[in-house]
Amino acid sequence: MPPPLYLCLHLRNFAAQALTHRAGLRGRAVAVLSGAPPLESVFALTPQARQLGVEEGMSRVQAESFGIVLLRRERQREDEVFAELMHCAQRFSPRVEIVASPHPEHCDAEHCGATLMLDLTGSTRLFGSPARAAQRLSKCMAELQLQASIACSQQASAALLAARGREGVTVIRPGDEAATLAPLPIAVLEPSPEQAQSLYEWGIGTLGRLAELPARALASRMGEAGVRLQRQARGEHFPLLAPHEEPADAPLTESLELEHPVETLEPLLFLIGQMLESLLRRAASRALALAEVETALILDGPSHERDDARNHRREHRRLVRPTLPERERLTLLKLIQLDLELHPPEAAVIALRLTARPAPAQVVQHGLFAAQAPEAGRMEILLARLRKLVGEDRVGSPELLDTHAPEDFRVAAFAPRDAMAPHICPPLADVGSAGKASVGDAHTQLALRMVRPPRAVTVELRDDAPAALWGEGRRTTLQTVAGPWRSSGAWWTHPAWCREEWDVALRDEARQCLRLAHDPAAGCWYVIGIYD
Amino acid sequence: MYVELHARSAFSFLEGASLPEMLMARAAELGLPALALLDRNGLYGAPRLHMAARRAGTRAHIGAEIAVRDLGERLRPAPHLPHRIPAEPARLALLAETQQGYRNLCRLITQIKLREPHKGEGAAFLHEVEEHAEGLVCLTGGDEGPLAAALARGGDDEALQQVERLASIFGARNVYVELQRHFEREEEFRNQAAVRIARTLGLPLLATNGVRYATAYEREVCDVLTSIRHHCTLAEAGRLLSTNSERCLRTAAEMQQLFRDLPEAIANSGELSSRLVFEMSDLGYRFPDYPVGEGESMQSYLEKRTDEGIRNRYLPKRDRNLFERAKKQAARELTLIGKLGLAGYFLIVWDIVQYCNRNGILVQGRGSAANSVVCYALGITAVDPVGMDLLFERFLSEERGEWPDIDLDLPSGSQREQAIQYVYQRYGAHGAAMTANVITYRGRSAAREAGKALGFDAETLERLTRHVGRWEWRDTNETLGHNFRDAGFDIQHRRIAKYLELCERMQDLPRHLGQHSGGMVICGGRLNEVVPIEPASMPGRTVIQWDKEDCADMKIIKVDLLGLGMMAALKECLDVIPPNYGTPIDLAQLPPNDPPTYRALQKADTVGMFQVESRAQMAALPRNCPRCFYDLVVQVAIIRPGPIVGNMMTPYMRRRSGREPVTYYHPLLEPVLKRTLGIPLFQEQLIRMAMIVANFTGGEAEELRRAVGMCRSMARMRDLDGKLRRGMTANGIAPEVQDQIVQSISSFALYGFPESHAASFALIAYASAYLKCNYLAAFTAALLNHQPMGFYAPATIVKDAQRHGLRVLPVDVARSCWPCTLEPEPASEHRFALRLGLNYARGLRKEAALALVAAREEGGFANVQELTLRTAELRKSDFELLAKIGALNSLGEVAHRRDALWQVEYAGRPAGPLLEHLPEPEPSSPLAQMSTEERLVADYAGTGVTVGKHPMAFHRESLRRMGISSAIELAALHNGRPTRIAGAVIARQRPGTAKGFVFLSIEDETGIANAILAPNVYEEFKQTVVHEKFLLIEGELQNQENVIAVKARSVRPLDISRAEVRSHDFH
Repeated sequence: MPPPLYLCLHLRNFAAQALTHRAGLRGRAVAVLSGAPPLESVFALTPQARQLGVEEGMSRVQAESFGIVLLRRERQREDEVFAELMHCAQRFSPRVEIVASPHPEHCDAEHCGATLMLDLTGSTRLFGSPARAAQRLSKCMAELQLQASIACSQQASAALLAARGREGVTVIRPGDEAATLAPLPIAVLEPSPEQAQSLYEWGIGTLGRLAELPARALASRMGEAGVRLQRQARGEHFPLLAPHEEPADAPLTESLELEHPVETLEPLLFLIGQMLESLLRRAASRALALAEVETALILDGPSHERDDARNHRREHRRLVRPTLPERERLTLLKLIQLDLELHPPEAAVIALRLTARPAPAQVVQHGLFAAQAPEAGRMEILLARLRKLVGEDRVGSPELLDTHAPEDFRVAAFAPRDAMAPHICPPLADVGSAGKASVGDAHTQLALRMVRPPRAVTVELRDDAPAALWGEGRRTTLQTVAGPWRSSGAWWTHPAWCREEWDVALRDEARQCLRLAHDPAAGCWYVIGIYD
Repeated sequence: MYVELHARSAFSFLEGASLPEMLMARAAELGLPALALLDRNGLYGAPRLHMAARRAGTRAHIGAEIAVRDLGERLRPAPHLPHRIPAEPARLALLAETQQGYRNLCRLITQIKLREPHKGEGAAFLHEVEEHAEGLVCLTGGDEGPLAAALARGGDDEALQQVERLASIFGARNVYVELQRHFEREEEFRNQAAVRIARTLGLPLLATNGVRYATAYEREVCDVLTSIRHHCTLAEAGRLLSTNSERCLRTAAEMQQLFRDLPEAIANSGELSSRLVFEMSDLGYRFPDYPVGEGESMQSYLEKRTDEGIRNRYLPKRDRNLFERAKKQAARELTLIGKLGLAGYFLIVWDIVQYCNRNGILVQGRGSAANSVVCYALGITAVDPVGMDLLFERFLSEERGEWPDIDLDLPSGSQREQAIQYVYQRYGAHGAAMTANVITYRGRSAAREAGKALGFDAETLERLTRHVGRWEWRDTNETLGHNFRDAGFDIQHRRIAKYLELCERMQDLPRHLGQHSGGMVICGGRLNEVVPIEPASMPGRTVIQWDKEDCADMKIIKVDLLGLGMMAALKECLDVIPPNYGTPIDLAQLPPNDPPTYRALQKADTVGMFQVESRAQMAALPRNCPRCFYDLVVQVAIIRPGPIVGNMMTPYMRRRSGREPVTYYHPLLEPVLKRTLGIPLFQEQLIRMAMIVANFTGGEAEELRRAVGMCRSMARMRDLDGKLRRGMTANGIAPEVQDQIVQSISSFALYGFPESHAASFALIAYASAYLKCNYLAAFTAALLNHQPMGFYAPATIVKDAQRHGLRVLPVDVARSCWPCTLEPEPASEHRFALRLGLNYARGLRKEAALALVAAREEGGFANVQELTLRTAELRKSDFELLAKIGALNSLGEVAHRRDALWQVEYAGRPAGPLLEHLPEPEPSSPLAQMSTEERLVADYAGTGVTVGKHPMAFHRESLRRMGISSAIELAALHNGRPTRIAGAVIARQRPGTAKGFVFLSIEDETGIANAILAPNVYEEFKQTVVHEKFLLIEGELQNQENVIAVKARSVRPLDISRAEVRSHDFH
């Protein structure tokens, strides 16, 4: 049995490295900002920026005063570079543990650094001595233009601590673990705040000092956790490696580079169909269906994005999410087709990438006496067709918003109401009473029929109130007017809204009652509703 | 004519956006003859409205919106509309028609408020409203009113019943059906219903605008306040916010146009306004009578007590002439007191003083009361006004027609509370209460809350508010915008710019009601009929709805029972010195000219002494060089904004040191200004000057002093100024001399001290100086036990005491009590060391510490294990704290602090019943002893002080190599010499009077050195000055008349220790 060999790869400030990576910014003072403007703050920074006095948490304006390069954090970029890093590590070993990463999905907490642990046990004949393997990995990192500290040891824990605490390449020979680790600061153990406080108060600043403490006495004070820390510090800790494996619901990706740019949708759909087939087969191998499919069309031509230095390719991304995880290729393909028809790409497509999220398929048990509901997939296609027909944000259930803004609502996802749930209707009295009071007829219950879209009209004013209406080429005088009803809001945003409404009765045969709206900012008049 | 009869001010706390005075000013500007203020459940803004109306020549009507529980819930949006408006009771809008109505309103509000177990809103029941309905006029209200609520609940029928119910309670004549038009459809529907109901019941209609802000522009602030009230952001607030900006004050013409279909609704507003005869000029307040025996009047009783007092006070002085003068002055004062009917007031204050004396509570009157020989005779004050020739008119005059102001200083803490509770008990829950302190939005609070409303996250707000309002001094270009920029915001950004604007607009708006630090109002009869009373946050206290300014405006008498940390320290000295030193001590009989005391004062060796310890006082003391008590009175008074701004200090000092001749503005003024070398320093001198040069009466002169101090009485000031100049001209005083006199009066009338007040404070200052110089251990222990107080942190007090030869011993579980105590020095009698108390172990609870002391009294602790077993009240963290500060070092088997910590960690872990008797496997600690630096860090973190060497002392050699002088060495250096000083920053100041200069006090092991930073130097080194604990300052030495400071050129951080040395920064 060959002796174990572990190699740890630690990249400090990975988030900053990912952005400066191949962007000609190596060696420059760069800070990465996260958060929404105007409240962005520094999330990660290069050592050069730190030397200038920049610190994590500074605002954009403060960081700008140092005259450094400021970049916005790009998770996608981080993911891409991390994938490259993983790819590189997996060239050395199939067993790679992600100890730390900026992506919270990979580990417990969000780090701005990245740490990988490679199990190189039994690979001596392949990569040479541990030192040689470490050098080769270091070279790979240099090719990726990433700065990493690398440590290898027969003990994973020792390799991890050495990589965290030392720069460059460290090779720990068997038996030298404790001596190598002894001068490293306690912080490399990443103790809990309570542990760190206790050790600080005891004057224990290095792993060597911690290693010297009597184990039993330490156990009686810090418990099992303290003993584990000490064993790590002594290089006597043998944790089990937890190699990274794609989880069952890890996204599935299919990519395809086209030989020449394609401008029409039909050939693309043919290719997408094939890729979908493959994705569904892969999902089915895990007994899963596809809960969502993202179609990324890589477009011809350069990116128009702000940071041209990175020269990103332009992508057109669309996401299709059926109500229930879907197994039917045709259903998914139809949904993608309808969506792409509604949102066609701006330029010719040179590559395709489909990313699908698998999920357990749901089987519906129909009740014997329950009404037959439409099949979920077909319902989805029907809704997609409707969206294509009437517009994306016009299909679903309308939902009123908590605001005074007139007719402000949002279209929520279509969700049929439970037949047993209590139903709250707008009381007719409200609508009627408003009309009743406005138009003057005390006993008529009025209903208001909204005019959508509002019909622009010309209004003649007398004493600042509407007197006559011009519409469809004729002038109609007004018999009664009530108003104005004024509302305004969202003054803290731009633009704020402001509106005046009038209820008017026409002096014509029909004696029609209308609701007019006036936008004081634009000076326009509209008919927005008809009372009947 | 139209009168706005339903306005709400910012005193509806977060429901209105304009101050009452702004509303009234706007009403006057719009030509409205009157305005009614109806704030939510209170009359908080009423006095301000009343005073604003007097200024504007309009009328103020007073009322309130009272939440009534059984009128149903107030109107909320229809059920299908999403909203977050909470269920609240409908509110009844009530206006005081007569004084009886006003009284009823006050009683009703008090009843609601005091019923609440905690400080809160509360609501009335309808039967309570019925009991208090007399003299009140009821409006049916806007959308918060009962009519709107009833209409929503049950339509016209229910609304009709509701209004009928109100008419039966208040009488048909006193119920007005209110109409408001804010251009809202639903509101108009309610109006139509209201008109039908009014017609059916034959009730009058009344148009109002339900005003919430003076101008439409303020709607934004109103919306922000709404968000703050409901703890949500503006974006989330939705229907909580107003629909439009129409709830502002309108002109009569606009209202007439709006209600052109219902002209009687407008006309009725004028009619109702003329019916509301109540005005706040007569609240029916009177001060309580003091109970005297049969056949005795309060005046005669007071005369007798004064006579006794005069004898007790003056006969021991053995000065017949003084005694006669005192009797004469007392007779003059008593005549005036009798004439003004103030005997009861004096007797009541005397009664409080008597209570304090009976209960061993140290008490002393301050302020202008010390000008009165009656107060002196009654034991209220301790300064002899006759002996010191103080001016009675400053205290009381016939012309002013106002109540005298007597402030009592009491030891801060429980004894002061005892005196306050005595007043409550004596005058009843409805007869006495604390005055309020209106907490308003200032830079920091406005920035934080407006930021929350706009949806900024907590971290951003924290970053911002750190920079707002750091110093008392504000540079002209230091605005909120400046602060925002410092916090790293882009103020050009639209959202940030709006934020900034809102913060500025929110300044000075009331936020909530607090209680004044000591002001109590007492009423003969029921105080709750004069002003509503509500519970204070502090148990056992109640507070009225007005602050002290309002009370003064409304002529309500306030007695200030102020807590003074130094009084508590003096009281402790009185208790501690006799048993330990074996000498009795009486503050009234201290040796008057104690040489060590004056030597210390002359050297400015005054750390810990009352009033004379600040940096500015220390800078003035060597120049003033006090040699007698009166010099100390001057010293206390001279470091005040008035004399400083008026440039009085330097001429006085020059004259005192003989470098400038003593001259007078006019020979007539020599008797007045002689004592202060021709420079007016006291308010009394200004009054006397006006009396002499312009023939003012005492009352007129006092009015002149007050008018100068108040910006709002500009018109009165102009009159008095004219009269002053006319008087001076009549007395043949040259115009240029007149200018000088007017200038001297106007420059510091507001900020100067009355001489009597300075004398009262000087007495305490002298007592503190005397005790420090003669009983250093007792005085220092008392100072440390009553922190925080004074100018310096405990660490500085300890270091100063050590430099004066006091041995300060560390906290020790085997010796320390809860307070700091004295321990006899083994070698000498009546010499003591100071043992730091367990109160200096930061975070140790008093109960736990007392339990430890109690356990120790049953027998000492052999070791850490025993300590932990016998003191179950202490937590593991307490033991860790004690170990870190070295308090366990004297226990057996403890070698050093870390050893103790190691043992405590073990002892703190219960081993369980099976293993608890097993010995510790490795008895000796493997931990290294703390280094000096670590000990310092632990000392400052755990106790705030160190009894060992000063952090700077450990580096003196290397500092010397860097050319750094110690504080003590500066005295030997020449003026103008380039100098480097270094030390721990103990005080940072940027006084409002110092034109942007920053003063730093830095301490090393030899003493305190001062540095002065010009505004440009401060700007350059701002971050270092503000944030660093240890500084190296380079500059030019200023050594003039033994006043030493370094005029800084550069400031650098000094990396010498990580100890958390605390600085007292004056923000």
